[in-house]
Amino acid sequence: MLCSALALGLPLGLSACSSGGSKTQATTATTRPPVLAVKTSVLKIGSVDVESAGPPNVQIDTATGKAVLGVAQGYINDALFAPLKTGKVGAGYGALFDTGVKAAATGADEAVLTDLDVGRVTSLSTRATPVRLSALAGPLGQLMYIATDFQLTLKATTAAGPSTMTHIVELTFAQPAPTTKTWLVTAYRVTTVRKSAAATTTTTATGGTTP
Amino acid sequence: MNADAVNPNASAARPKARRRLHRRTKRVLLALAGGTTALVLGCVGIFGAWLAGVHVPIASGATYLRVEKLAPISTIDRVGGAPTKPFFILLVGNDSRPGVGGARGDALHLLGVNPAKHQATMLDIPRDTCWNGDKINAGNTRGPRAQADDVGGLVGVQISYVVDVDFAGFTGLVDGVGGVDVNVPTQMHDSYSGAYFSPGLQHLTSSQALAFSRDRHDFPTSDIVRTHNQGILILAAMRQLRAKMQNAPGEFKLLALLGRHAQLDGIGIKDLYKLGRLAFSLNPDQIQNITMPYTGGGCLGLGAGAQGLFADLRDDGIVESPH
Repeated sequence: MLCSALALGLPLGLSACSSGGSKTQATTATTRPPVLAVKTSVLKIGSVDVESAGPPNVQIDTATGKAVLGVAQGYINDALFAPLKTGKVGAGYGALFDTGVKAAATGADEAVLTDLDVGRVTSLSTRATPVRLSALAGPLGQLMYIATDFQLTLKATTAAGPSTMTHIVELTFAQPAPTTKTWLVTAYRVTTVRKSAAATTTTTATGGTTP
Repeated sequence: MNADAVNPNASAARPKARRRLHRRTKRVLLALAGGTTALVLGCVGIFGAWLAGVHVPIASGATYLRVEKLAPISTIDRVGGAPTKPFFILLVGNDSRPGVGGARGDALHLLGVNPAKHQATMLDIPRDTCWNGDKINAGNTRGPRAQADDVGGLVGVQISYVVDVDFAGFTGLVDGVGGVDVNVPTQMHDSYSGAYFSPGLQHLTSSQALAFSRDRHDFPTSDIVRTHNQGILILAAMRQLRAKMQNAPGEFKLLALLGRHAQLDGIGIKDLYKLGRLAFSLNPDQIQNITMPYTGGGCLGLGAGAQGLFADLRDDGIVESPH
């Protein structure tokens, strides 16, 4: 029930036919390869588990689950799909992170957290595992942290040939203030495996270790 | 035709009914006023007690340990969201148990953490170390903060956090994490503590872990070896917890356990989360476990090299010089 509601309520992410330009420009030669086929993923909830430092049987309400899944979807849209489509991270990427991890996420860890280094691709297909939601409730039963775990596999054709990127993503969310309904990434563990004909590289980034 | 005409008593009954209603309303209002006053007084009392330093534990189950924040970490420079200055945590095992009061700090371990280098050092302080004319473990009878003041004074550092645990709390915690795997360094055969172990890696239950950490009769230098063994146990527990803290569900499970069984003072679950993420980003295999050099017997003095060791620890939270 919850899963269905969340899946239905989520934005569809990047559209496969969003370029909009249908005119043939016969006189202008372009060196930029056109995006031939882009198929992106929509995250869906798998299992849900809540640990509580206070009362037992705390649950994640639908609105909160939807909000958190929405940010996770925003992450894959802006950090992973957008660079492959446009060569740049999505405009909303930095705003997904709270002040504790933003500098690292947009700086030292950006190469792991995003597919910016892969560059634009000419074809893309993706597959996401169901999202495992886990949460920590505080002494009064209030949800303090919610984490999303999922794996995203992207198969793309780059200028250098076929390439597969696998992202093992754990994003932990917290509310910047108890009064807000916004959830931002406050910690992350992301492992990225990039496989091409030339090489396979594995990199890991961990953020959110500031006391 | 009105009702009075039908029932001549009705007109006489109406003022009585009004009086009854008036009395009932008055009683309800008085009860409401009394309840509100009691609620306000209760809130003021709790707030006043909180201001006066009486902290109500948030633990919803048996209290295994007490975690107190002593100094803000605001002194830490933050570059790119990461702290760069070292800080210190005092781990105290007190001897409070049924029949033994006083809660002396019989296990004293100062953990220096250098977040920028992702390294740490644990300094084991013998409980019999002399400090201000008394043994240093007496400080804990005045509370963990006083114990931290004494250890901080001895080493010359400001301690930011103190974690205090008694016998029952210790066993509760070890049970809570399902026992601990310890590489026992030497043969142990001690009827006082109940420590009967052969050397080597083994899984200890809570009562075995307590016995391991209490055994001093097996060793000629008594508490000196014991305090080092306690350091071994702490690092083994960190190693085990670290393995469980490699993902968010593991972190949440441990934090929930702490939330239910820790008395938190000046520190919240969010602080513990951040602190835990940092602590478990350290590799326990790279944490040095150093026992403070000592001299004499009875009330121990600082041994040769102790001041140099303290200075090495003080400057960046870790000991780099060989010991």
